[in-house]
Amino acid sequence: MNLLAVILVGYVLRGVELGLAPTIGLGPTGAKDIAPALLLPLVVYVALFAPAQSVLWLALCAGVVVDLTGPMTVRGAEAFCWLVGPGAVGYLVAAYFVLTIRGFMIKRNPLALAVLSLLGAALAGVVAVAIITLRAQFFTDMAWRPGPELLLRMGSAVYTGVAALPLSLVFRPLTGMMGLQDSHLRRR
Amino acid sequence: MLRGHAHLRQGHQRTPLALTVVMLVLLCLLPARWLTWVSWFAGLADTAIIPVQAPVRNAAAWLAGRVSAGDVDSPELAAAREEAERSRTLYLQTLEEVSVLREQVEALQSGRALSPGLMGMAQLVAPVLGEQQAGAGRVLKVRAGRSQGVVAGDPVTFRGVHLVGRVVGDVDMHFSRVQVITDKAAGSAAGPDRGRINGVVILGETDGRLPPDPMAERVQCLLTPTGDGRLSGDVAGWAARADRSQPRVEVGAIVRLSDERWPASAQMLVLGRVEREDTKPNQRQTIVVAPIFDPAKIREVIVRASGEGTNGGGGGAP
Repeated sequence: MNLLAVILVGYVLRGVELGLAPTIGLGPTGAKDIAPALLLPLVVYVALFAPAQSVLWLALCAGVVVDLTGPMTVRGAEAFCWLVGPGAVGYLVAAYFVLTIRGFMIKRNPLALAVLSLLGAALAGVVAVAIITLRAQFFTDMAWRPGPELLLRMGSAVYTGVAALPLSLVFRPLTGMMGLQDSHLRRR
Repeated sequence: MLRGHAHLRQGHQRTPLALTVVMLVLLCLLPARWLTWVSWFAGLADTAIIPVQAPVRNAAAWLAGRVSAGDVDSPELAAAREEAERSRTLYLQTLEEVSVLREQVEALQSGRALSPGLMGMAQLVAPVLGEQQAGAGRVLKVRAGRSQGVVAGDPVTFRGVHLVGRVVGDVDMHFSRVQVITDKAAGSAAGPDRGRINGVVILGETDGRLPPDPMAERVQCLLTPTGDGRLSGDVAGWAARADRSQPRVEVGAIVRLSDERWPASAQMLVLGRVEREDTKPNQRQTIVVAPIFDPAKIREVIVRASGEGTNGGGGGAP
Protein backbone atom coordinates (compact mmCIF):
# COMPACT_ATOMS: atom_id res chain seq x y z
CA MET A 1 0.00 0.00 0.00
CA ASN A 2 1.27 3.45 -0.95
CA LEU A 3 0.54 5.26 2.31
CA LEU A 4 1.29 8.73 0.95
CA ALA A 5 -1.18 8.33 -1.93
CA VAL A 6 -3.87 6.97 0.42
CA ILE A 7 -3.35 9.91 2.82
CA LEU A 8 -3.57 12.37 -0.07
CA VAL A 9 -6.80 10.85 -1.37
CA GLY A 10 -8.18 10.75 2.19
CA TYR A 11 -7.30 14.40 2.77
CA VAL A 12 -9.10 15.48 -0.39
CA LEU A 13 -12.10 13.30 0.40
CA ARG A 14 -12.46 14.69 3.94
CA GLY A 15 -12.26 18.25 2.59
CA VAL A 16 -14.85 17.48 -0.08
CA GLU A 17 -17.04 15.76 2.52
CA LEU A 18 -17.04 18.81 4.81
CA GLY A 19 -17.41 21.21 1.89
CA LEU A 20 -20.34 19.40 0.31
CA ALA A 21 -22.24 18.63 3.53
CA PRO A 22 -24.18 21.96 3.66
CA THR A 23 -25.28 21.58 0.04
CA ILE A 24 -26.04 17.89 -0.32
CA GLY A 25 -26.94 17.24 3.32
CA LEU A 26 -30.50 16.18 4.02
CA GLY A 27 -32.75 17.40 6.81
CA PRO A 28 -34.76 20.45 7.75
CA THR A 29 -33.51 23.97 6.96
CA GLY A 30 -30.37 24.84 8.87
CA ALA A 31 -29.93 21.33 10.22
CA LYS A 32 -28.70 19.32 7.25
CA ASP A 33 -27.14 16.69 9.44
CA ILE A 34 -27.68 13.65 7.24
CA ALA A 35 -24.63 13.87 5.02
CA PRO A 36 -22.49 11.16 3.45
CA ALA A 37 -19.10 10.25 4.93
CA LEU A 38 -16.68 10.11 2.00
CA LEU A 39 -13.64 9.13 4.00
CA LEU A 40 -15.22 5.90 5.21
CA PRO A 41 -15.66 4.38 1.71
CA LEU A 42 -11.92 4.97 1.20
CA VAL A 43 -11.15 3.10 4.42
CA VAL A 44 -13.48 0.31 3.27
CA TYR A 45 -11.86 0.23 -0.17
CA VAL A 46 -8.38 0.02 1.30
CA ALA A 47 -9.62 -2.66 3.72
CA LEU A 48 -10.71 -4.77 0.77
CA PHE A 49 -7.18 -4.97 -0.60
CA ALA A 50 -4.47 -3.97 1.88
CA PRO A 51 -2.81 -5.99 4.69
CA ALA A 52 -4.91 -6.16 7.86
CA GLN A 53 -2.46 -4.43 10.19
CA SER A 54 -2.01 -1.40 7.90
CA VAL A 55 -5.77 -1.16 7.39
CA LEU A 56 -6.50 -1.10 11.12
CA TRP A 57 -3.98 1.69 11.76
CA LEU A 58 -5.22 3.65 8.77
CA ALA A 59 -8.83 3.35 9.98
CA LEU A 60 -7.82 4.53 13.43
CA CYS A 61 -6.02 7.58 12.01
CA ALA A 62 -8.91 8.40 9.67
CA GLY A 63 -11.27 8.24 12.64
CA VAL A 64 -9.02 10.57 14.64
CA VAL A 65 -9.15 13.09 11.75
CA VAL A 66 -12.95 12.80 11.71
CA ASP A 67 -13.04 13.40 15.48
CA LEU A 68 -10.69 16.40 15.25
CA THR A 69 -12.76 18.07 12.54
CA GLY A 70 -16.10 17.60 14.34
CA PRO A 71 -16.31 19.37 17.71
CA MET A 72 -19.00 18.85 20.33
CA THR A 73 -20.81 21.67 22.10
CA VAL A 74 -19.96 22.00 25.77
CA ARG A 75 -23.17 22.63 27.65
CA GLY A 76 -23.45 26.07 29.21
CA ALA A 77 -19.83 26.99 28.49
CA GLU A 78 -20.43 28.43 25.01
CA ALA A 79 -17.36 26.55 23.90
CA PHE A 80 -16.44 23.42 22.01
CA CYS A 81 -14.65 20.29 22.95
CA TRP A 82 -13.09 17.68 20.71
CA LEU A 83 -13.68 14.09 21.75
CA VAL A 84 -10.95 12.03 20.13
CA GLY A 85 -11.99 8.42 20.27
CA PRO A 86 -15.59 7.75 19.24
CA GLY A 87 -14.96 8.22 15.52
CA ALA A 88 -11.57 6.54 15.67
CA VAL A 89 -12.86 3.42 17.40
CA GLY A 90 -15.95 3.45 15.15
CA TYR A 91 -13.81 3.49 12.00
CA LEU A 92 -11.59 0.79 13.46
CA VAL A 93 -14.56 -1.49 14.09
CA ALA A 94 -15.87 -0.79 10.58
CA ALA A 95 -12.47 -1.69 9.09
CA TYR A 96 -12.25 -4.86 11.18
CA PHE A 97 -15.71 -5.84 9.95
CA VAL A 98 -14.61 -5.41 6.32
CA LEU A 99 -11.40 -7.36 6.96
CA THR A 100 -13.49 -10.20 8.39
CA ILE A 101 -15.77 -10.57 5.40
CA ARG A 102 -13.58 -9.38 2.51
CA GLY A 103 -12.86 -12.95 1.48
CA PHE A 104 -16.51 -13.44 0.57
CA MET A 105 -16.86 -10.26 -1.48
CA ILE A 106 -16.43 -9.58 -5.19
CA LYS A 107 -14.03 -6.72 -4.57
CA ARG A 108 -14.22 -5.12 -8.01
CA ASN A 109 -18.01 -4.86 -7.91
CA PRO A 110 -19.11 -1.27 -7.07
CA LEU A 111 -22.06 -2.73 -5.15
CA ALA A 112 -19.65 -4.45 -2.76
CA LEU A 113 -18.14 -1.09 -1.80
CA ALA A 114 -21.60 0.46 -1.47
CA VAL A 115 -22.96 -2.29 0.77
CA LEU A 116 -19.81 -2.51 2.89
CA SER A 117 -19.68 1.29 3.24
CA LEU A 118 -23.30 1.35 4.35
CA LEU A 119 -22.74 -1.40 6.92
CA GLY A 120 -19.39 0.05 7.98
CA ALA A 121 -20.83 3.54 8.47
CA ALA A 122 -23.74 2.08 10.44
CA LEU A 123 -21.33 0.13 12.66
CA ALA A 124 -19.08 3.16 13.14
CA GLY A 125 -22.12 5.24 14.03
CA VAL A 126 -23.39 2.71 16.58
CA VAL A 127 -19.95 2.45 18.20
CA ALA A 128 -19.46 6.24 18.35
CA VAL A 129 -22.93 6.81 19.80
CA ALA A 130 -22.37 4.02 22.33
CA ILE A 131 -19.06 5.53 23.51
CA ILE A 132 -20.42 9.06 23.82
CA THR A 133 -23.57 7.77 25.53
CA LEU A 134 -21.40 5.86 27.98
CA ARG A 135 -19.50 9.08 28.61
CA ALA A 136 -22.77 10.97 29.09
CA GLN A 137 -23.57 8.63 32.00
CA PHE A 138 -20.65 10.14 33.94
CA PHE A 139 -20.51 13.69 32.60
CA THR A 140 -23.38 15.90 31.51
CA ASP A 141 -21.10 18.63 30.18
CA MET A 142 -21.93 18.14 26.52
CA ALA A 143 -25.14 18.55 24.58
CA TRP A 144 -25.95 14.92 23.70
CA ARG A 145 -29.16 13.14 22.69
CA PRO A 146 -28.38 9.50 21.80
CA GLY A 147 -31.71 8.61 20.15
CA PRO A 148 -31.87 11.35 17.50
CA GLU A 149 -28.09 11.12 17.04
CA LEU A 150 -28.31 7.39 16.27
CA LEU A 151 -31.11 8.03 13.79
CA LEU A 152 -29.04 10.74 12.09
CA ARG A 153 -26.04 8.43 11.86
CA MET A 154 -28.13 5.63 10.39
CA GLY A 155 -29.46 8.09 7.81
CA SER A 156 -25.90 9.17 7.08
CA ALA A 157 -24.88 5.51 6.75
CA VAL A 158 -27.48 4.96 4.03
CA TYR A 159 -26.34 8.15 2.30
CA THR A 160 -22.71 6.95 2.60
CA GLY A 161 -23.66 3.68 0.91
CA VAL A 162 -25.27 5.60 -1.96
CA ALA A 163 -22.27 7.93 -2.26
CA ALA A 164 -19.91 4.94 -2.32
CA LEU A 165 -21.31 3.82 -5.70
CA PRO A 166 -19.87 6.75 -7.70
CA LEU A 167 -16.82 6.75 -5.42
CA SER A 168 -16.02 3.21 -6.47
CA LEU A 169 -15.64 4.52 -10.02
CA VAL A 170 -13.23 7.15 -8.71
CA PHE A 171 -11.24 4.63 -6.66
CA ARG A 172 -10.84 2.09 -9.43
CA PRO A 173 -8.36 4.10 -11.55
CA LEU A 174 -6.56 5.14 -8.33
CA THR A 175 -6.08 1.54 -7.19
CA GLY A 176 -2.65 1.26 -8.78
CA MET A 177 -1.53 4.65 -7.51
CA MET A 178 -2.57 3.70 -3.96
CA GLY A 179 -0.62 0.48 -4.30
CA LEU A 180 -3.66 -1.72 -3.73
CA GLN A 181 -3.84 -5.07 -5.43
CA ASP A 182 -6.26 -7.92 -5.31
CA SER A 183 -4.31 -10.78 -3.77
CA HIS A 184 -6.12 -13.37 -5.94
CA LEU A 185 -5.28 -11.48 -9.12
CA ARG A 186 -1.69 -11.04 -7.98
CA ARG A 187 -1.26 -14.78 -7.42
CA ARG A 188 -2.33 -15.47 -10.99
CA MET B 1 4.72 -24.50 14.23
CA LEU B 2 5.01 -21.82 11.56
CA ARG B 3 1.37 -20.92 12.02
CA GLY B 4 1.96 -20.62 15.76
CA HIS B 5 4.80 -18.18 15.11
CA ALA B 6 2.64 -16.16 12.72
CA HIS B 7 -0.13 -15.91 15.35
CA LEU B 8 2.43 -14.87 17.95
CA ARG B 9 3.85 -12.20 15.64
CA GLN B 10 0.35 -10.96 14.79
CA GLY B 11 -0.47 -10.77 18.50
CA HIS B 12 2.67 -8.71 19.09
CA GLN B 13 1.76 -6.41 16.20
CA ARG B 14 -1.73 -5.85 17.56
CA THR B 15 -0.67 -4.97 21.10
CA PRO B 16 0.16 -1.29 20.29
CA LEU B 17 -3.14 -1.01 18.39
CA ALA B 18 -5.12 -2.41 21.33
CA LEU B 19 -3.30 -0.07 23.70
CA THR B 20 -4.08 2.90 21.43
CA VAL B 21 -7.76 1.96 21.36
CA VAL B 22 -7.89 1.64 25.14
CA MET B 23 -6.13 4.99 25.47
CA LEU B 24 -8.58 6.67 23.08
CA VAL B 25 -11.60 5.25 24.89
CA LEU B 26 -10.18 6.43 28.21
CA LEU B 27 -9.41 9.82 26.68
CA CYS B 28 -12.98 10.40 25.64
CA LEU B 29 -14.22 9.39 29.08
CA LEU B 30 -12.44 12.42 30.58
CA PRO B 31 -14.33 15.60 31.52
CA ALA B 32 -14.48 18.29 28.83
CA ARG B 33 -12.34 20.72 30.82
CA TRP B 34 -9.43 18.25 30.70
CA LEU B 35 -9.63 18.01 26.93
CA THR B 36 -9.02 21.64 26.02
CA TRP B 37 -5.49 20.80 24.78
CA VAL B 38 -7.06 18.75 21.97
CA SER B 39 -8.32 22.03 20.46
CA TRP B 40 -4.73 22.82 19.37
CA PHE B 41 -4.61 19.66 17.25
CA ALA B 42 -8.14 20.36 16.02
CA GLY B 43 -7.02 23.84 14.97
CA LEU B 44 -4.19 22.28 12.98
CA ALA B 45 -6.57 19.80 11.35
CA ASP B 46 -8.99 22.62 10.51
CA THR B 47 -6.27 24.76 9.01
CA ALA B 48 -5.06 21.84 6.94
CA ILE B 49 -8.51 20.93 5.64
CA ILE B 50 -9.65 24.46 4.74
CA PRO B 51 -7.82 24.67 1.36
CA VAL B 52 -10.00 21.81 0.09
CA GLN B 53 -13.15 22.46 2.12
CA ALA B 54 -13.68 26.16 1.35
CA PRO B 55 -13.48 26.03 -2.48
CA VAL B 56 -15.64 22.90 -2.57
CA ARG B 57 -18.25 24.54 -0.34
CA ASN B 58 -18.37 27.71 -2.45
CA ALA B 59 -18.41 25.80 -5.73
CA ALA B 60 -21.20 23.53 -4.50
CA ALA B 61 -23.27 26.49 -3.30
CA TRP B 62 -22.72 28.25 -6.61
CA LEU B 63 -23.59 25.17 -8.63
CA ALA B 64 -26.73 24.59 -6.62
CA GLY B 65 -27.77 28.15 -7.37
CA ARG B 66 -27.72 28.88 -3.70
CA VAL B 67 -25.39 31.87 -3.77
CA SER B 68 -25.59 33.81 -0.54
CA ALA B 69 -28.67 35.90 -1.25
CA GLY B 70 -30.71 33.26 -3.00
CA ASP B 71 -33.24 35.94 -4.09
CA VAL B 72 -34.47 36.77 -7.58
CA ASP B 73 -34.41 40.57 -7.30
CA SER B 74 -32.39 42.59 -9.76
CA PRO B 75 -29.03 43.78 -8.33
CA GLU B 76 -30.30 47.38 -8.06
CA LEU B 77 -33.49 46.38 -6.24
CA ALA B 78 -31.57 44.05 -3.97
CA ALA B 79 -29.10 46.85 -3.13
CA ALA B 80 -31.94 49.28 -2.45
CA ARG B 81 -33.69 46.77 -0.17
CA GLU B 82 -30.45 46.14 1.65
CA GLU B 83 -29.84 49.85 2.11
CA ALA B 84 -33.37 50.38 3.40
CA GLU B 85 -33.02 47.51 5.84
CA ARG B 86 -29.67 48.87 7.04
CA SER B 87 -31.16 52.33 7.59
CA ARG B 88 -34.09 50.86 9.51
CA THR B 89 -31.75 48.86 11.70
CA LEU B 90 -29.55 51.88 12.32
CA TYR B 91 -32.58 53.94 13.25
CA LEU B 92 -33.80 51.28 15.66
CA GLN B 93 -30.31 50.90 17.10
CA THR B 94 -30.21 54.64 17.67
CA LEU B 95 -33.53 54.52 19.45
CA GLU B 96 -32.34 51.58 21.51
CA GLU B 97 -29.13 53.43 22.28
CA VAL B 98 -31.07 56.51 23.38
CA SER B 99 -33.12 54.31 25.62
CA VAL B 100 -29.95 52.70 27.03
CA LEU B 101 -28.37 56.13 27.51
CA ARG B 102 -31.41 57.29 29.44
CA GLU B 103 -31.07 54.24 31.65
CA GLN B 104 -27.35 54.93 32.03
CA VAL B 105 -28.04 58.48 33.10
CA GLU B 106 -30.42 57.12 35.68
CA ALA B 107 -27.84 54.51 36.63
CA LEU B 108 -25.14 57.16 36.93
CA GLN B 109 -27.39 59.21 39.14
CA SER B 110 -27.91 56.27 41.42
CA GLY B 111 -24.22 55.36 41.26
CA ARG B 112 -24.51 52.10 39.30
CA ALA B 113 -21.90 50.80 36.87
CA LEU B 114 -22.14 51.55 33.19
CA SER B 115 -22.53 48.90 30.56
CA PRO B 116 -20.12 48.93 27.62
CA GLY B 117 -21.40 50.62 24.47
CA LEU B 118 -20.65 50.38 20.81
CA MET B 119 -17.43 52.41 20.91
CA GLY B 120 -14.26 50.76 19.63
CA MET B 121 -16.08 48.14 17.60
CA ALA B 122 -14.74 47.13 14.18
CA GLN B 123 -16.78 45.47 11.45
CA LEU B 124 -14.81 42.80 9.65
CA VAL B 125 -15.91 41.19 6.43
CA ALA B 126 -15.08 37.52 6.84
CA PRO B 127 -15.55 34.71 4.30
CA VAL B 128 -17.23 31.57 5.59
CA LEU B 129 -14.70 28.78 5.26
CA GLY B 130 -16.94 25.91 6.18
CA GLU B 131 -19.33 24.34 8.57
CA GLN B 132 -18.83 21.80 11.27
CA GLN B 133 -21.16 19.48 13.06
CA ALA B 134 -20.96 20.36 16.75
CA GLY B 135 -22.89 17.85 18.78
CA ALA B 136 -26.54 18.78 18.45
CA GLY B 137 -25.90 21.79 16.24
CA ARG B 138 -23.66 23.40 13.64
CA VAL B 139 -20.94 25.99 13.73
CA LEU B 140 -19.53 28.16 10.96
CA LYS B 141 -15.81 28.62 10.52
CA VAL B 142 -15.04 32.18 9.43
CA ARG B 143 -11.76 33.81 8.37
CA ALA B 144 -11.47 36.44 11.11
CA GLY B 145 -9.46 35.74 14.20
CA ARG B 146 -7.61 37.04 17.17
CA SER B 147 -5.19 38.97 14.94
CA GLN B 148 -8.10 41.15 13.82
CA GLY B 149 -9.48 41.72 17.28
CA VAL B 150 -12.14 39.03 17.32
CA VAL B 151 -12.93 37.72 20.77
CA ALA B 152 -15.40 35.14 22.06
CA GLY B 153 -18.89 36.60 22.30
CA ASP B 154 -18.60 38.99 19.34
CA PRO B 155 -21.79 39.08 17.27
CA VAL B 156 -21.69 37.99 13.64
CA THR B 157 -24.09 39.33 11.03
CA PHE B 158 -25.01 38.82 7.42
CA ARG B 159 -25.18 42.04 5.38
CA GLY B 160 -24.73 43.95 8.62
CA VAL B 161 -28.31 43.55 9.84
CA HIS B 162 -29.19 39.87 10.00
CA LEU B 163 -27.83 38.23 13.12
CA VAL B 164 -26.07 34.97 12.24
CA GLY B 165 -24.71 34.12 15.69
CA ARG B 166 -21.75 34.81 17.88
CA VAL B 167 -18.15 33.82 18.16
CA VAL B 168 -17.61 31.01 20.66
CA GLY B 169 -14.79 28.96 22.07
CA ASP B 170 -11.08 29.59 21.64
CA VAL B 171 -10.49 32.11 18.87
CA ASP B 172 -7.65 31.09 16.57
CA MET B 173 -5.13 33.64 15.30
CA HIS B 174 -6.71 33.79 11.83
CA PHE B 175 -10.14 32.18 12.10
CA SER B 176 -12.94 31.71 14.57
CA ARG B 177 -16.02 29.57 15.10
CA VAL B 178 -19.51 31.02 15.08
CA GLN B 179 -22.37 29.41 16.92
CA VAL B 180 -25.42 29.99 14.77
CA ILE B 181 -28.33 31.72 16.52
CA THR B 182 -30.63 28.76 15.76
CA ASP B 183 -28.20 26.29 17.34
CA LYS B 184 -29.62 24.44 20.33
CA ALA B 185 -26.90 25.84 22.57
CA ALA B 186 -27.17 29.42 21.29
CA GLY B 187 -29.32 30.85 24.10
CA SER B 188 -28.15 32.19 27.40
CA ALA B 189 -25.72 29.94 29.21
CA ALA B 190 -27.14 30.23 32.68
CA GLY B 191 -29.98 31.59 34.76
CA PRO B 192 -33.73 30.98 34.65
CA ASP B 193 -33.83 31.80 30.91
CA ARG B 194 -31.11 29.29 30.07
CA GLY B 195 -31.20 28.37 26.42
CA ARG B 196 -33.50 31.28 25.55
CA ILE B 197 -33.14 34.43 23.50
CA ASN B 198 -35.14 37.61 24.05
CA GLY B 199 -36.56 39.08 20.88
CA VAL B 200 -38.89 41.92 19.99
CA VAL B 201 -41.42 42.43 17.25
CA ILE B 202 -42.27 45.99 16.31
CA LEU B 203 -45.94 45.88 15.44
CA GLY B 204 -46.67 47.71 12.24
CA GLU B 205 -43.18 47.21 10.84
CA THR B 206 -43.59 46.11 7.27
CA ASP B 207 -41.03 45.81 4.48
CA GLY B 208 -39.41 49.21 4.27
CA ARG B 209 -41.55 51.01 6.85
CA LEU B 210 -41.65 51.53 10.61
CA PRO B 211 -44.57 52.78 12.70
CA PRO B 212 -44.38 56.44 13.92
CA ASP B 213 -43.34 55.44 17.44
CA PRO B 214 -41.53 52.11 17.09
CA MET B 215 -40.39 51.94 20.70
CA ALA B 216 -44.00 52.02 21.92
CA GLU B 217 -44.98 49.23 19.53
CA ARG B 218 -42.41 46.72 20.76
CA VAL B 219 -43.72 43.33 21.74
CA GLN B 220 -41.40 41.00 23.64
CA CYS B 221 -41.00 37.34 22.92
CA LEU B 222 -38.89 34.67 24.57
CA LEU B 223 -37.48 32.33 21.95
CA THR B 224 -35.79 28.95 22.10
CA PRO B 225 -33.86 27.29 19.26
CA THR B 226 -35.86 24.28 18.09
CA GLY B 227 -32.93 22.42 16.55
CA ASP B 228 -34.33 22.48 13.01
CA GLY B 229 -32.97 25.88 12.06
CA ARG B 230 -35.76 27.86 13.67
CA LEU B 231 -36.63 29.58 16.94
CA SER B 232 -39.94 29.29 18.72
CA GLY B 233 -41.50 30.68 21.85
CA ASP B 234 -44.21 32.70 23.54
CA VAL B 235 -45.17 36.27 22.85
CA ALA B 236 -44.65 37.79 26.31
CA GLY B 237 -46.43 41.15 26.00
CA TRP B 238 -45.80 44.84 25.42
CA ALA B 239 -42.24 45.91 26.18
CA ALA B 240 -42.87 49.55 27.04
CA ARG B 241 -46.58 49.85 27.79
CA ALA B 242 -48.63 49.40 30.90
CA ASP B 243 -51.30 48.01 28.59
CA ARG B 244 -52.32 44.52 29.75
CA SER B 245 -53.98 43.53 26.49
CA GLN B 246 -52.42 40.62 24.60
CA PRO B 247 -50.74 41.90 21.44
CA ARG B 248 -51.05 39.74 18.29
CA VAL B 249 -48.03 39.13 16.14
CA GLU B 250 -48.75 38.44 12.51
CA VAL B 251 -47.09 35.88 10.27
CA GLY B 252 -44.31 37.63 8.31
CA ALA B 253 -43.45 40.07 11.12
CA ILE B 254 -39.75 40.79 11.59
CA VAL B 255 -38.24 39.66 14.91
CA ARG B 256 -35.20 41.47 16.30
CA LEU B 257 -32.82 40.74 19.14
CA SER B 258 -33.32 42.65 22.37
CA ASP B 259 -31.38 40.67 24.91
CA GLU B 260 -29.12 42.27 27.47
CA ARG B 261 -26.99 39.11 27.63
CA TRP B 262 -25.82 39.86 24.10
CA PRO B 263 -23.41 42.73 23.35
CA ALA B 264 -24.83 46.21 22.66
CA SER B 265 -23.68 45.92 19.04
CA ALA B 266 -26.04 42.98 18.52
CA GLN B 267 -29.19 44.65 19.78
CA MET B 268 -32.03 45.17 17.29
CA LEU B 269 -30.38 43.00 14.66
CA VAL B 270 -32.82 40.88 12.70
CA LEU B 271 -33.34 37.33 14.02
CA GLY B 272 -35.80 36.36 11.33
CA ARG B 273 -39.39 36.44 10.23
CA VAL B 274 -42.45 34.90 11.93
CA GLU B 275 -43.21 31.79 9.93
CA ARG B 276 -46.12 30.39 11.96
CA GLU B 277 -48.21 31.52 14.88
CA ASP B 278 -50.53 29.65 17.17
CA THR B 279 -52.55 30.24 20.32
CA LYS B 280 -52.12 28.09 23.41
CA PRO B 281 -55.11 27.00 25.53
CA ASN B 282 -54.22 29.81 27.98
CA GLN B 283 -54.68 32.28 25.08
CA ARG B 284 -50.97 33.05 24.95
CA GLN B 285 -49.65 33.37 21.42
CA THR B 286 -46.68 31.27 20.31
CA ILE B 287 -44.58 32.01 17.24
CA VAL B 288 -42.06 30.15 15.11
CA VAL B 289 -39.31 32.35 13.70
CA ALA B 290 -37.19 31.37 10.70
CA PRO B 291 -34.00 33.26 9.73
CA ILE B 292 -34.45 35.26 6.53
CA PHE B 293 -31.17 33.91 5.21
CA ASP B 294 -30.22 30.29 5.72
CA PRO B 295 -26.76 30.17 7.41
CA ALA B 296 -25.87 27.17 5.21
CA LYS B 297 -26.03 29.40 2.12
CA ILE B 298 -24.09 32.34 3.45
CA ARG B 299 -20.62 32.81 1.96
CA GLU B 300 -19.57 35.95 3.77
CA VAL B 301 -20.39 37.41 7.18
CA ILE B 302 -19.57 40.58 9.07
CA VAL B 303 -17.97 40.11 12.47
CA ARG B 304 -18.47 42.97 14.91
CA ALA B 305 -15.10 42.66 16.61
CA SER B 306 -14.77 44.25 20.01
CA GLY B 307 -11.15 43.37 20.79
CA GLU B 308 -7.96 44.95 19.56
CA GLY B 309 -6.28 43.36 16.55
CA THR B 310 -2.56 42.95 16.04
CA ASN B 311 -2.53 43.74 12.32
CA GLY B 312 -4.14 47.13 12.40
CA GLY B 313 -7.79 46.24 11.88
CA GLY B 314 -9.35 44.06 9.26
CA GLY B 315 -11.63 44.26 6.30
CA GLY B 316 -13.35 47.43 7.47
CA ALA B 317 -17.00 48.27 7.55
CA PRO B 318 -18.97 47.43 4.43
